[in-house]
Amino acid sequence: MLVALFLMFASSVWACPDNQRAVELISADANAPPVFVDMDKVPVSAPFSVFIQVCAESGPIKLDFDADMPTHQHGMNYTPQITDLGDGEFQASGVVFHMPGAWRLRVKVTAGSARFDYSTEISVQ
Amino acid sequence: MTDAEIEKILSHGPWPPDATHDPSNRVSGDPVAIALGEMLFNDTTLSAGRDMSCATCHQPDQQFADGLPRAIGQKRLDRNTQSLWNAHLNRWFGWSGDTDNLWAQNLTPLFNADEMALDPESLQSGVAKSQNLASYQRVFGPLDAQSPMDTSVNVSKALAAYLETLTTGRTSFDSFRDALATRDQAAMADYPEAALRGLRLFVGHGNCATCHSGPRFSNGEFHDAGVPYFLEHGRVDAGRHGGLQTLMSSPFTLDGAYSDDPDKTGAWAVRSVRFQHSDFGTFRVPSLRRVTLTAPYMHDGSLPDLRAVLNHYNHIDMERLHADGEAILRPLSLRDDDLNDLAAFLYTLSDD
Repeated sequence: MLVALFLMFASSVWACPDNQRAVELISADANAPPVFVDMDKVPVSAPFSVFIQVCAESGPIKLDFDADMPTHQHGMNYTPQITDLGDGEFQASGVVFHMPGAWRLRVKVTAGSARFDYSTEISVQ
Repeated sequence: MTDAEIEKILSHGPWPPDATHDPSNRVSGDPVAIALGEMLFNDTTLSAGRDMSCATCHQPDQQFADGLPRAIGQKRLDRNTQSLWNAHLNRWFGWSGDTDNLWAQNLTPLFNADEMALDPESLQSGVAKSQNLASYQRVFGPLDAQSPMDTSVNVSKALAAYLETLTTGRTSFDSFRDALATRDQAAMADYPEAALRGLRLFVGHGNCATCHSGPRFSNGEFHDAGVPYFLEHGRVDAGRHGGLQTLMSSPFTLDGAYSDDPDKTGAWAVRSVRFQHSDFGTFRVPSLRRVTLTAPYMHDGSLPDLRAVLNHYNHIDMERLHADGEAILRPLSLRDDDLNDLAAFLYTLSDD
């Protein structure tokens, strides 16, 4: 099933991202389709949006977004709202990083029975 | 200074912030309502015994606090009275954030049986007997056409309109920060050397700016500062945990029917705030503007002066922190000279 999904992803990869600023997330799964995140300068303790692009066409995709500060042992105090913008693009709004420092962004993409986990770390000042 | 230090220091300004009105309060910014709010703030008819006003605990000549470890209402309360300076800039209000807007916060002491001890009916009755009745009706219309709850919310909104005017002024830190932004070396040289050393500790080794961030020197959120939350007789102050429970049962949030804002601006916070096990015993990070003038300190007023606070963080008892909570605090192990420098910096947040 995973192989079939991978072939499906690989055969119909969208041209993305077209934004040079976007950062590719890391997945330990070699079959995971590329996922990029893009955001403006991150404010401390104020809501902002993260735009997430899943670079594969696979029919319905479910996306979850969360973040934490591994060195501080805490996550976010608010649950972001995820909006499907279509064409594999999602907006996580109401994201609040309430402290400066290193935050880990975590994305989970679910397509059918396949699930892929991604992360990357950014520095917030 | 390094570029990283400069960026961190600049993040604590500019000050003051642009004046804005609260869309959830239709009388926000209204000069007549502001004047009414100031009169009501000092009006003892807004208490069950006609013997307390807001100013009884939030005394203007005490930085709108009372200088006591714990407030005294109808009895000794569990928490320290917070200064009202810059309170209108908060996202959450009170030590535990049981309200998400300023006018709703004003209802808390009015209706608390241990404070003003009113209910909507007795509050409306108090307004009817108040010397400020004519001013009230000028702003909100005939009292007898209003429900007791509507009158209560109107009073809270007039009080909020007044409290929104309480913004602290520019300090010598703000002058230094703005000079740093433009690299004005001559103006930067006016800043005391000890305060500059303290500032660098504040944003550096001291790690203070992790929670005391931004122009208000507070991230507005809730943390465990290692202060005991046990009260006498085996009671505990649940802090944010209890605050969230109160918040979620309140009809007075930015998402509720008493907000005057059809767009429900700011309601995202109450809609999306998370309940977390680690909320228990955490309290809102206070602003540090005018901090040297608002002793005693911490949510329970247990630290009598600024030096005691610095010593608390310098030798923090890790056993008092949640074992499964945040891993932010650690003993700073600073020398006395360093603590003096930190104090010198904090004084430059209080000299407006």
